[in-house]
Amino acid sequence: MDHLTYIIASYGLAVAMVAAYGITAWARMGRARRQLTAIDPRGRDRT
Amino acid sequence: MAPPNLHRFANPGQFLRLSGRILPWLTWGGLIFTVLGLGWGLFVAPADWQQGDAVRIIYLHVPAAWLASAGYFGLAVCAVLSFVWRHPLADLAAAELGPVGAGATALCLATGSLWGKPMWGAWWVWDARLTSMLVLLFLYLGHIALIRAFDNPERGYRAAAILALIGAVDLPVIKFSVDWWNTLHQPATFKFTSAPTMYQGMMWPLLISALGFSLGFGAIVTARLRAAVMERRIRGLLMARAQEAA
Repeated sequence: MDHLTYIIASYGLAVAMVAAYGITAWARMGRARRQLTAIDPRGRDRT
Repeated sequence: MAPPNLHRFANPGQFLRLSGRILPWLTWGGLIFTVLGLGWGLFVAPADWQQGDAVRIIYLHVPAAWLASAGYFGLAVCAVLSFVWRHPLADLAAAELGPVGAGATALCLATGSLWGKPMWGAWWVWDARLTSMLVLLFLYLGHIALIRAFDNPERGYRAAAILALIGAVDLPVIKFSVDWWNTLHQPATFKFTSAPTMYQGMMWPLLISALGFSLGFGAIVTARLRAAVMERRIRGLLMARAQEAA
């Protein structure tokens, strides 16, 4: 495979970006859900 | 007044219930189609006779470019929903969509640069397509900055929505830049007026990758929006309790 450095850099960057966005989004969602459940237990089934 | 079909999604509780059901489908669909499309593109699709294996960057670059433009179109739609119908989730959705769209734009520019260096011999050229895409990144950054620039969030949302509407002018410029000007960037692979000229063994992994990226983009924005809705509810509950206690 030629131009391997450029291909690896592109795919590595994409995986890192998607993982960073995904992990932060799910972590934020989980934190908000836990806080909301702690404050308002009735809201558990709404989240 | 909101149109009838939008009332359903205007209630944050209803949105949380509905998005909670949709989110796993978006997430798993995004993961499966992205892995399938990229794996096919990397290991099965043929190399290009002129560009060699560097063409495999297309399976990332084109979906990122598509999502960059689609994301900004989404910001403009949110602005219209906010201004015309005062949709309660439109401003929150725009605030959560902006950073993800900016990421897609940055990924498009970075992968384009990594593709351009071995093909053109330069990391960057002031070509119409590249420059209009860079303008889109600045528009995204401006949108994100405006939302955070005011003490009153409502004013930030208003200012950002105006920028989203004005900046939407850049979208047709990006799309048609390769037709309007002599560009180093290649012409559009997919056109509304003619059948694609791309070899099918390369077109299918590209379409599958684009579908996977789109579903994944939707999943990330949905997850961020769910978090934002819950955070707003937490703030509201805490304020109500503080007022009761006072």
